[in-house]
Amino acid sequence: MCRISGIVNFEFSPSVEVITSMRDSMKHGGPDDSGIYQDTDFPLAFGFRRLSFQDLSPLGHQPMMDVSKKIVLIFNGEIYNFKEIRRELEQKNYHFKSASDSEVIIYAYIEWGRECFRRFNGMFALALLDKRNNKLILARDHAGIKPLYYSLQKDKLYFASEVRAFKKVDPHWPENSDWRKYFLLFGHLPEPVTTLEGVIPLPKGTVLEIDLPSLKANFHRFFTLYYNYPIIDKKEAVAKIHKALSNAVERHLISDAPIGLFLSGGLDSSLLTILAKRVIPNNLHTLSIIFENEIYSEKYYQDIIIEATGANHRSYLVTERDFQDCLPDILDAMDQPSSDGINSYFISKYAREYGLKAALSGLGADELFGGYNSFNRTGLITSAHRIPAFMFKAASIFPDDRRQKIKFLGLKDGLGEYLFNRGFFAPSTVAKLLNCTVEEIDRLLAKMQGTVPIFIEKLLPVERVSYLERNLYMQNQLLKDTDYMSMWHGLEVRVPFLDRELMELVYSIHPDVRYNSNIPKALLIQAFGAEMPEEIWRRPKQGFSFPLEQWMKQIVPRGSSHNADTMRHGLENGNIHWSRYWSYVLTQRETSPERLR
Amino acid sequence: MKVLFLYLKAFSFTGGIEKFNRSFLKALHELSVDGFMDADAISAYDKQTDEKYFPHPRFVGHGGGRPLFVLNALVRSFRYKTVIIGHINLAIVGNLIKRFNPSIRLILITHGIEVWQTVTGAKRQLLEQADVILAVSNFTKGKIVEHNPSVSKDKILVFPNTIDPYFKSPTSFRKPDYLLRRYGLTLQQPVLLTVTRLAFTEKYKGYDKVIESVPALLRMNPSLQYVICGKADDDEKSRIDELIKENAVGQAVKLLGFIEDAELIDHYLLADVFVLQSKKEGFGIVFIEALACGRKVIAGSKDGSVEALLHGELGRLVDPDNGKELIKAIEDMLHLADYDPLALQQKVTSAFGFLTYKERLRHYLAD
Repeated sequence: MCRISGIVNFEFSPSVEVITSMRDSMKHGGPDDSGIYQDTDFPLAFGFRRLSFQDLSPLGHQPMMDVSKKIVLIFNGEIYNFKEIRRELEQKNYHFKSASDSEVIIYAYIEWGRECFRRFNGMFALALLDKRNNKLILARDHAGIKPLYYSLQKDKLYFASEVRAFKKVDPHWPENSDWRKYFLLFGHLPEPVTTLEGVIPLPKGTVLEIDLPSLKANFHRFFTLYYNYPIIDKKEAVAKIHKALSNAVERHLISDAPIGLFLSGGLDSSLLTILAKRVIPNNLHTLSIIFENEIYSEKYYQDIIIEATGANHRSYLVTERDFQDCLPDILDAMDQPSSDGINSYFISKYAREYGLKAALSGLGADELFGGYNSFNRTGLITSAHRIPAFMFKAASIFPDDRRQKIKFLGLKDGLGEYLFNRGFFAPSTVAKLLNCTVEEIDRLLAKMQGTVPIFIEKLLPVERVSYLERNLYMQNQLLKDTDYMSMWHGLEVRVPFLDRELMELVYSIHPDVRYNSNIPKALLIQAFGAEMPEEIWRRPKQGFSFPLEQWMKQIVPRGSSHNADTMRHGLENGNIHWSRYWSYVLTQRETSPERLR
Repeated sequence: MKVLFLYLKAFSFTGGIEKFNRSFLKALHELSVDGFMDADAISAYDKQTDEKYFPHPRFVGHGGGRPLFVLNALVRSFRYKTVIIGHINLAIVGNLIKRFNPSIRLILITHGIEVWQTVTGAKRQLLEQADVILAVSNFTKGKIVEHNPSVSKDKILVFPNTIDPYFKSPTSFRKPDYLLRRYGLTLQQPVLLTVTRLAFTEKYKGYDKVIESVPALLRMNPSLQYVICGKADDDEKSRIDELIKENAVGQAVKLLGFIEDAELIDHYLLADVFVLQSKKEGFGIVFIEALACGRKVIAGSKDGSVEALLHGELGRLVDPDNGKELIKAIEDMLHLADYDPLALQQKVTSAFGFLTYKERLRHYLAD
């Protein structure tokens, strides 16, 4: 797990200062080592910061080259199946100097070209210079777990693990004038939107192949879920899920550095802890966050799992004072605005204090196995699709923002469905808060419609929900928050539920077998219920709760305005959820980090 | 690009055309998910789809209600820019669609012998009206033009068959122990294999010629076994039983009947040589399946099989009417010294694997 950055500039050859500055803007994500590479043939530079897990020795140093020095790699992430790939390459007479997965990537690329990415099971974002063919390759893992942003211009290209690095190229890099609108509609910035103009994320499961010196770019997808269902038998599905998740957890525990688990006491983290116990029975470390107010506490359930597994557990108390003290640092850590992420900030901070370098998280289980309420609203959405679009416009008459969101269903597509389920503010409220017109917001939504593919309209309704939760909510919010908040503390978060083999299996099981409208995550319970304390899988879903409603009241948006007063009043009298208030507050600050109050 | 595929059967019968249709449906769906097109399908005979290949929300099945199928296909076709007709037997519906919507792009899929003759009436009209004809092989393309000179050869594109996307090409090429035990065979015993339907009305597959060759082959390979997999109709079963008796090869020939998909690959692996010197294959999916299992293959040199074997690069081609040539080819292939099953598998996957097939379809539809 590391941070990467790079520049190709045919106008002005990239200086050591600029690439160093880009690289070190993300130094929190790579405290163990750093490196710079400057090419002799092209005006190209790579920057790298290392957080080491496999092969902690200097042999894992990056940028890394092959023996002929024709391939140069910078790589952020983990390839969990690198040992199998290495064995295959060794049989083909490749020789390795280090024990790192990075070296395996280099020789896998030499052997199979860009097809090598189809073989990797892991999380990664990487850049690879191929001097044999004058190509620069950028690639991002199958599930978009690791971030990679780039900006491709006429005669230059910049890329980095975080958006903040682009501001080091040019402190006046223009802001994306629409980001606040997107943010208030979604509660996150949906891909491909970022706060900076022309800076976009590389889509997941994709290789971007750039010819040098022309900078002509071609995209190649190496991972797509096709939603065909060879598995229609429940017994088969249960047996296969059991095996695949157990294997995934084992794979994700590969590390030469201390590794542990976030334990909330919910189904997903409890299950991971039980499975991890089988792999590392004597070295099982878990941690959780607790609060003074007991209504937020999940200690009862955490204790059940700790007792069942004998985990070395630590609970960390987070108080309002901690929140206030850490607020400037939270804002600094937040590479891109998010309506969430504060929980990830604290759990990552304490995981590092605990001495862990990596932690497993249950992220992804809700999206894959149907843990959200949205999975139960498909009947309502299907009925709404039969109503003519113009009738939804009448929702504008509702006085409250929540009911005005019905208007989103008039979009008659996946985007409308998602915004109805998870959108933050209705277009009229966004327009009011940002002093723009509703038509501007509508135009923005129309522009967004192309980003949700048409094919999802022809998925079964529950599968469509899973698609939207995974590709919008999880991708743009959960994964992004988790990445930058954990890396801010030099912690790697691993997500076994997004294991490539497990994901392929899950989406080959027919939705009728996979989902149960009465029991969230029924298939997981069927597969592992017998191995888990009953209280855990019978408990109601709580999520990762924080007492932020109360704590947010201390935050005052910059300046004073009618909108700011209305929002504060709404938070105080309970009409506005803290996350909406927080989102509004974030739109009122500049993109450069600074205190809010 | 909105695409409608009209076809006869894919899931309610097992045969070469049905296998083709399943892969074709899967390719259409994948290209839809890839964002290249938005494809739907209507079947004349399937009642329901198998969601392993094609999703339910894109599918309408008429289960044999042909008039309703024609009406439904015609009415719905107005929503599409491209309509693909899966078999020339759907000529009436194809012609009606073109008549009511002349600007639609009409694509006809041809599989083999159904167009190796002069066709007349609605079928001829469809061949002429179709904007594009996909022919399973160059051989079939040549036959269409030869027998139907009014059809422009420029609009005929060669679109070979593929290996089913769920066909799990083996990683080990060892003969499966459980099948050796089941059939009382030993690992050293040379096995010839044919996989085909045995129909009394189709006397062009050539397995009868192989049976007639078995006595000669036994003289050189006394433990040789010839194994035929495939469902036989009663008349053909009687004919083959009689032929086995006449040649006194009852101990060396096994008719195994229909093999379930789950065991098909293992049966291919049982073979030292796969042989099917047919005379009327449009292409022959079984050849590429056998090659994907790393088997040595013998095929006929007078039909589309030639292209499945890449003109002999992937196996041996023989004159299907020449018994001596067949015996020599079997003998040679049984004792072939320079043989690499993995290389065969890789070559056939590269030429006819599902990814290649899908990309070829994308390319043709883009044009």
